[in-house]
Amino acid sequence: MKIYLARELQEANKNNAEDNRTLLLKNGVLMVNIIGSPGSGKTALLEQTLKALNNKYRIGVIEGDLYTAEDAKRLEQRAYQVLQINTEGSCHLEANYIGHLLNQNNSSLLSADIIFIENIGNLVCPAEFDLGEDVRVSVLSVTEGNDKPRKYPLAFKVSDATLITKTDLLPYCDFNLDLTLRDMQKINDSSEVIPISIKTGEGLKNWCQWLEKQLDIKKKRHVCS
Amino acid sequence: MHELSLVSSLMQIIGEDARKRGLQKINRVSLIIGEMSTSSSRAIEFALEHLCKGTILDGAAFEITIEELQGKCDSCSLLFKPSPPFFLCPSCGKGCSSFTKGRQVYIDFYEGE
Repeated sequence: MKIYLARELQEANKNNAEDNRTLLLKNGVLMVNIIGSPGSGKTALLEQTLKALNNKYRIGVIEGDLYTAEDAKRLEQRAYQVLQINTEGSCHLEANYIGHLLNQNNSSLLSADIIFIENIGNLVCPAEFDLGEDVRVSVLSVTEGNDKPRKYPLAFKVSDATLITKTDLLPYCDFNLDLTLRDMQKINDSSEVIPISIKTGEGLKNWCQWLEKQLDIKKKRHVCS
Repeated sequence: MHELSLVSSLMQIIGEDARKRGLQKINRVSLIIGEMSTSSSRAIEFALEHLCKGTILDGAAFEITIEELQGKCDSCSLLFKPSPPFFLCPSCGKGCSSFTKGRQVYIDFYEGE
């Protein structure tokens, strides 16, 4: 017996992601999925973002790491709630992990205004797994070099914003910012590109304004739903 | 290695469908891998070999076809084969925000008895 299925292997993850999205809309929570290489500055970005916004909003963080709770420890002083996921070797987060945390009885994540997910440091697999987020943000540090958007174009193509981090190190790196801005324009001209430095604070205001704009859009959609 | 997750999903989809139809054994599976799915056919084959042992899929022949990437130009609607890193339209030079083929991994059909 020959059976035609035409069913996608990502189907279960996509359904789980949609469930998460429905739950977040019902509760008016903005979820931001942050992807980038190991060492690109995702946790440092979150530290400064929390510092800038945690007096104004309730911010939850889901930290994805292969092992350890180092990053969650760095953030727990500043966030409304921080939860750690250890994937024990797996290179990406999946929507059901996030759904599990959102649905836990003792979880206050759904009372937050914003949930940040720090995905596993990797520019390939996290780009393939929808978690139910509203926006995906890729982080590229100037120390990684100009070639990364060309080498991993999909990660940047599926992102709503790209932060070019560690711009304070530009004088010491062979990183051509103009070239990367042109490449990003070609890869995804609807993506917001924000150069940022955690050390000097450059770009932090633009990043926070972009986030607040996304939150505003989400709250309006929540009211209409 | 997200291919392990994909293969687990394949086993679940076919396993459930075969159970509903009362099939005992799967002989053949046609699997389509998009060339820009960022999934390695070798890693998928490796995962199939190891995960299917002792299941309804043990001994099935897996036929893998690579599907070419296809995009639709945002500006002139031309269907074309986009090339990384910029995926630009060969006719008007604009980008394509969505791909119409070649990004997914999916089961085309299976045969069982």
